[in-house]
Amino acid sequence: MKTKQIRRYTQAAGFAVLRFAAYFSIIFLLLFIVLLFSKGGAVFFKYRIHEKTVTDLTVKNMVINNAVVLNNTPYSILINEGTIIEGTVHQGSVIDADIEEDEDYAENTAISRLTIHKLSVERARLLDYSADFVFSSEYKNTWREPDTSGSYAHIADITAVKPELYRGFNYRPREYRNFVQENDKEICITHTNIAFEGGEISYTTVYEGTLIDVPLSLCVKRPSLYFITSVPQEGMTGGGIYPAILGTGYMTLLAILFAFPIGVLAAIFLNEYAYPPLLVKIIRIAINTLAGVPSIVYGLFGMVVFVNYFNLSISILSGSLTLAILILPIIINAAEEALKVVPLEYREAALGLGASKRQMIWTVVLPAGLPNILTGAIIAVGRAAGETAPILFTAAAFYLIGNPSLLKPCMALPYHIYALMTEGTADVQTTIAYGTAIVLLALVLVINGTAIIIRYRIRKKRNL
Amino acid sequence: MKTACQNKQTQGDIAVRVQNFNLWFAANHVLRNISMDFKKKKVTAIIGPSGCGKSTLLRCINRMNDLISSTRIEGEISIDGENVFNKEIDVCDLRTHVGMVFQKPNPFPKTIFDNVAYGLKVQRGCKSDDIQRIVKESLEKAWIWNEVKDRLRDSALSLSGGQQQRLCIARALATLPEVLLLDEPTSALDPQSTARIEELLLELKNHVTVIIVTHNIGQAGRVSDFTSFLYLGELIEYGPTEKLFTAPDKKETARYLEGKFG
Amino acid sequence: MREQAFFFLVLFAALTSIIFLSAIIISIFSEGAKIFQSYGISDFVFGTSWHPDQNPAEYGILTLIAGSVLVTLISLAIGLPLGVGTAVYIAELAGPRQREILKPAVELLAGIPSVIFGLFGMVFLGPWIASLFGLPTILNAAVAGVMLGIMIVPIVTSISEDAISSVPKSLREASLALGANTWETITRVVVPSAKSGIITAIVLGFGRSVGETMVVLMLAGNSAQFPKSLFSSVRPMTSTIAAEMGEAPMGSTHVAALFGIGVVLFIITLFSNAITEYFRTRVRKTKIKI
Repeated sequence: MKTKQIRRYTQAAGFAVLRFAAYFSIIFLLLFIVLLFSKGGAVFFKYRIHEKTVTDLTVKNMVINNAVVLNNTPYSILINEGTIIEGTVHQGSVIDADIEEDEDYAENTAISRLTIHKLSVERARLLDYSADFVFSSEYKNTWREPDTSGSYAHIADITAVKPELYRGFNYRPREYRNFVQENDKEICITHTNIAFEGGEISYTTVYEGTLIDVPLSLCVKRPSLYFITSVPQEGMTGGGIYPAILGTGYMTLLAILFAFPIGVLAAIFLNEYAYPPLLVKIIRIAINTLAGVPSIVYGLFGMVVFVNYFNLSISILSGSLTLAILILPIIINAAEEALKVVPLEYREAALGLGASKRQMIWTVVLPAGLPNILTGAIIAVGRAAGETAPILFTAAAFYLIGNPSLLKPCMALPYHIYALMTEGTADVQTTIAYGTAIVLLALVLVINGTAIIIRYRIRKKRNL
Repeated sequence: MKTACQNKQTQGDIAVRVQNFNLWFAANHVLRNISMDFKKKKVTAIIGPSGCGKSTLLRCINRMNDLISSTRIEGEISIDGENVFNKEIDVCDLRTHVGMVFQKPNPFPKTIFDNVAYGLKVQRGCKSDDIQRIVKESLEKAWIWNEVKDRLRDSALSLSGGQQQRLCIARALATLPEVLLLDEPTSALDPQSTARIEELLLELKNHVTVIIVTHNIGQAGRVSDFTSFLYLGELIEYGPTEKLFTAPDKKETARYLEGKFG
Repeated sequence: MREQAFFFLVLFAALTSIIFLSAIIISIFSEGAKIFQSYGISDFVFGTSWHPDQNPAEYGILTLIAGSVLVTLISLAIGLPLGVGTAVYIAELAGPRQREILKPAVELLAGIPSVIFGLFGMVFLGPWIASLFGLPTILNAAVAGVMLGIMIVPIVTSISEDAISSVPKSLREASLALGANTWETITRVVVPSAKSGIITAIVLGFGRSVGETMVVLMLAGNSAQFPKSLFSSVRPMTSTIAAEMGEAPMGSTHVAALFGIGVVLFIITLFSNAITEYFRTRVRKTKIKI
């Protein structure tokens, strides 16, 4: 029958649409997390300088053209040109090399075996290098674009920079950013002091030139928590976000400190006393309305009342008080639900033993409902940590030095993300913003995860 | 099997035949080797103490037990010679041939008309005039037409309990089934509504085969032509109601009818 | 004696909700009243020109309201189908193992702070939509609307799911017994029966979208012009307040105007809350009936 088939196909199509809608959330979340970490993951690594000062350079595959013994004194042979293969110089200029004892070389003798201690390279050209190497010179002060023509980079003059500044991923001067992108290599500037003047080094192959005193530095990428533990540096293009973490931590802690007692007590009123009924109705309407007020309106309110009227100025105090009122309805609802499910038997048992209502609540009902209340409170904390609008005009600052204090503004994680994205100018600030987002998300996840685990444990216990 | 809008031809005098039927809910052997026939255009009652599988057996006839995932069956239930558990059978189609009325009246939160027309509209084959006609006929068959004919567009939830149940009967009849299953249809109703529906059932057998599950022995005696007695998942006895009630073959049947256990 | 003290303690704690709400209303309205008095309510609400920097300054917020409405409508167009669809799937079609993945996923989505959504939109969604439709700018109403739509999915799903699962099982059985298949049962019986709950979800989603600040601040573009298309750059009410409050001098008319916007916002959300409450009580009533 045709209609039967139509019905069957309609059902199949309908189910497919529903399945797509349902799994959209998962797909989006996965995409979200993957992209978040790909963009922001870089902040959790840093380049460790692994230093090796090489005073004794063993040269492999060194080619020196046209080496001629110029001067023959023990331990000091000058070779004009030649090829060194595996430490052997056939021809070329070498300074200060080991010669086998008791050997006497006449001028213009071809050398067949030579170990080189100290090699000087003039006019060196870096032909190739692995991802972790670069050389810098203290003697020149300007940084120029590497010559990326051909298959190698010609680093002529390299900026010497203060080494501490360049220890993080994010200190990449624009100048060599392009090179990195094009050649897919990472450059790490070290405080070596190699001088090149002329010549070419092909990964220790030298074509003419002087290499003086080669401390080599290996840059190694290691996971690091510097992002969480250090303060912002270099005009917000580097360093960490520790003050923001501190600020968010203080504000949410204070907020929950204010809101939790009031919220739980209010819930007790609503669930255990609830008298007179008209007042209760008004209170419930007030709570529902508070829950629905947009967060920016809370920000305005906080500005008028706390910042201006109570003269608390833009500060942690203002911000946390505003947040406290924001999360109050959440706590009241969660606490009320928690108290509702405390079994009647508990209450009757307490009263039957002669406890007063107050005692029953304080010693039996509240402890019984506490796990669920805590779950709700924890979720409220998560909410407070992530809110931006209420703290825009009451607490937040972009860059602050010094320890947070109650009456001073503070940095905050959500605000930091917003500020970086809308006021920052450097590309790297996107990465920092993403890193901050990861930290904030991790915080919220840990908080919510704790709540879920507590809730799960309670359910297990109750299903004995 | 044809759609409800067309006439259906049936043969023989057996509407539903159950053969060596067994059912398990997970490891629970709920129905044990049941074999019986339900005669056409007659009322058959299934009685027995609570939990003995009456409703389960009933729900197998229109495969409502498919909704429970742990179900396993062996044996056959055939309607018009076709085993309803055959893989090729379209379950939705089956259910237009076998209607069901539930213990608690469950009209949809729609208008009275839409409730009755539901089964027809879902099949998408019926013309609007046919629908109007069939709805009216079904409500008449269910003895509720006069009470609702002026308010077909009112919500079905505005009816009383007894009226709602008769509406559910009309709704089930609208797909023109051959068999009507009723699962304790009056246990949630007051005595007057119950009496009304019992009378209705006697009339309904002129249109359909009626199979009714009831824990009310008196009701079984009042409305049914045949009665089967189920105990702990087994068919203990089956036969014409008069005989079963006055001179049952099995001891358990007699004890149950005397109210010695329930 | 102690009993009474405790009672008054909890009473007072509960009363704080009224106190705080009043404080919010008073503070917002008193600041906002200034602009209503000096500029006139109808000029403010219906004026089409928002130019606080001009001389004389103009404070008509109709374009801002239009921006909010456009973004909200787009978000509802995205969030409602996804949310209700997810709710239906979870309530009717998903097996227990599927539920264990789907429900936490939705809850997780709900916990993500809005500013991170804004970040995501700026860096990924915006450029993607811009390349998809060949737009010159990344920030526009469509991006903000889509991101906001995804944000409201959890709340729509949760409320719809509650509504759908409270439809009694017997209605589903009746529908199936009449020969309908599962899809027809869902679309003709279950979802219509859950109407009140789903409408609550819609209104809640609306309220949330209108009141959201960070996502629209970062994604909707920044021009206070009347939107010409889905892809216009707009300035909803919330982002106007957030963006301009920092620059407006204290106590100026500009600040008062921003508070005026706050008043309008507050009234809108009050309204949507009231509608939600109305439908919530209707849901409760139908529950008792069935």
